[in-house]
Amino acid sequence: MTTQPVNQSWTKYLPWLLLAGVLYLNHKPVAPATPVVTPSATVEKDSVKKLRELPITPEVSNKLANLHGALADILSRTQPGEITSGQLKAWMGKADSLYVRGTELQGSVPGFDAARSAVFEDYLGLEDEPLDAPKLQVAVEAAKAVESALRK
Amino acid sequence: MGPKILPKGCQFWPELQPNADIAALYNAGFAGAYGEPEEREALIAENIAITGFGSIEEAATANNWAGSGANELSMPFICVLERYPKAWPGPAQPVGDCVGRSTANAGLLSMCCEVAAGKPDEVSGRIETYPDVNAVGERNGVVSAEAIYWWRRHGGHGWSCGAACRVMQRESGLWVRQNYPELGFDLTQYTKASIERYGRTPPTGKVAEQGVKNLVRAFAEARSREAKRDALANGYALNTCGMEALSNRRDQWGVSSRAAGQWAHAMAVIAFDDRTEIKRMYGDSLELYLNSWNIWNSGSRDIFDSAKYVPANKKQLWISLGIVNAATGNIMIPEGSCWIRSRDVANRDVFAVSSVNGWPRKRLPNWTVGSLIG
Repeated sequence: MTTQPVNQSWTKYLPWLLLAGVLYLNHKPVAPATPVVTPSATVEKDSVKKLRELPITPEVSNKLANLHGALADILSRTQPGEITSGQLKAWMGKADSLYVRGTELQGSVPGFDAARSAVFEDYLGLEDEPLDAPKLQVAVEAAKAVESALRK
Repeated sequence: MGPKILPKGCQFWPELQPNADIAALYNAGFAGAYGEPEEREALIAENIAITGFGSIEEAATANNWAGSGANELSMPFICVLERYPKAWPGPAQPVGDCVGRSTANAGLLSMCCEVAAGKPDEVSGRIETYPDVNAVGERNGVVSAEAIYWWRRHGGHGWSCGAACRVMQRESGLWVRQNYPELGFDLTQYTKASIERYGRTPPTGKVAEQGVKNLVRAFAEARSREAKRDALANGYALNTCGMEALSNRRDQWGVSSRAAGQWAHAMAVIAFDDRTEIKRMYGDSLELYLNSWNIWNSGSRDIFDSAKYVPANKKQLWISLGIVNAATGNIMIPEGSCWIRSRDVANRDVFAVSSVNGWPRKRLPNWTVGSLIG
């Protein structure tokens, strides 16, 4: 019985491999029988885009994203009419201070306050009014938009 | 001002010793409310000139809300308690100023209903909001009764509903219970001294200027049961003066009966129950009277079969605010109030309070919070 050297055992198939590669590259794909559903393109608000574009390190950005994810969670469990927009703003200020004071996040993102303010103004406006069920939902979406913009 | 008509068997309010028993004084015939026919007629004439209507019947028909309260349970008082859960019953009167209290309570209710409806003010076009008041001010009734009563133009106590309504429309409307350092007094708490700050001569100068800031826009007389029902169904509180004494005991559904004797007294009406089953049980519709003697009565406060009217997403909130009975799920009438059969209170002077020149809705300057992040 004769044996071929191991390092030559596959090389005789090389031309076939090359041919298969060319055929593959020239292959025109067949359209799938069912259409491929692409996610609907939601237009990101300019304010969210600007927040997303702030220069922030991923580590800091994710920590700030966590804060706003928690805010969204609390808002989703708040009773309609329980708070006003003014009270929500005060909440955010206190949560912000408690979360950030004395940590490396302090002063880490110049312009963050104004950028986040723009997002909430875009979603909720500036009326100081009780947050009924629909407005609470919008507040949740605003917090989630901030979280999403910061998540790296 | 015209003649004051003291009800038969009544006398003008006496000089009081401290801590006098107010209920006993009303029972004894001292008049907190009396008739002033010329004031009533002037009120109606002035409102016909302003709005075209002197009565709720006319206003309701012209504006297509006549009958809107038929067979319904109307509870506009919830608009007050959702925002100011501690506002009622408020402190007990120390003197015979029930007309001031009743007028202020009715003004507060109409104002809160307007804000809750979110509609722009009919004159200013502004969306209005609830005025801020601290906890003490809230427990003292949110708005000042004495700041209306100051304009009674005599040095004693007692007044008429018609005259008080005219004052609230032209001279002194809703004053938030707060400190007014620029005017030299603090209205946060309702006190005898505060009540008696003015009387024979009404305020002038800066006090009078403050008085006209939040006036009631219109009043109309409610002459019939149906008018009272429809006014309340549309968020218009009632300011009433009359002679009926009420029992201090409520039955299992918060209903009281007429008591022996008479009270020359003013009270606001803050709800109406015209449901078929109520009329079957009590032989009549029911009107919710709010007294100004703090917690003067006792008995159940549950509104019959009212759990089904509690919005599912508000139940826990309303329980925490004391609006809903946690045990039964029913909505409760405020402390110090009671339901009365309409026929038992059919002879009172009744004025519906329309919109108030209220407080414009506030705007935030922005959403920045002084973030430590940057």
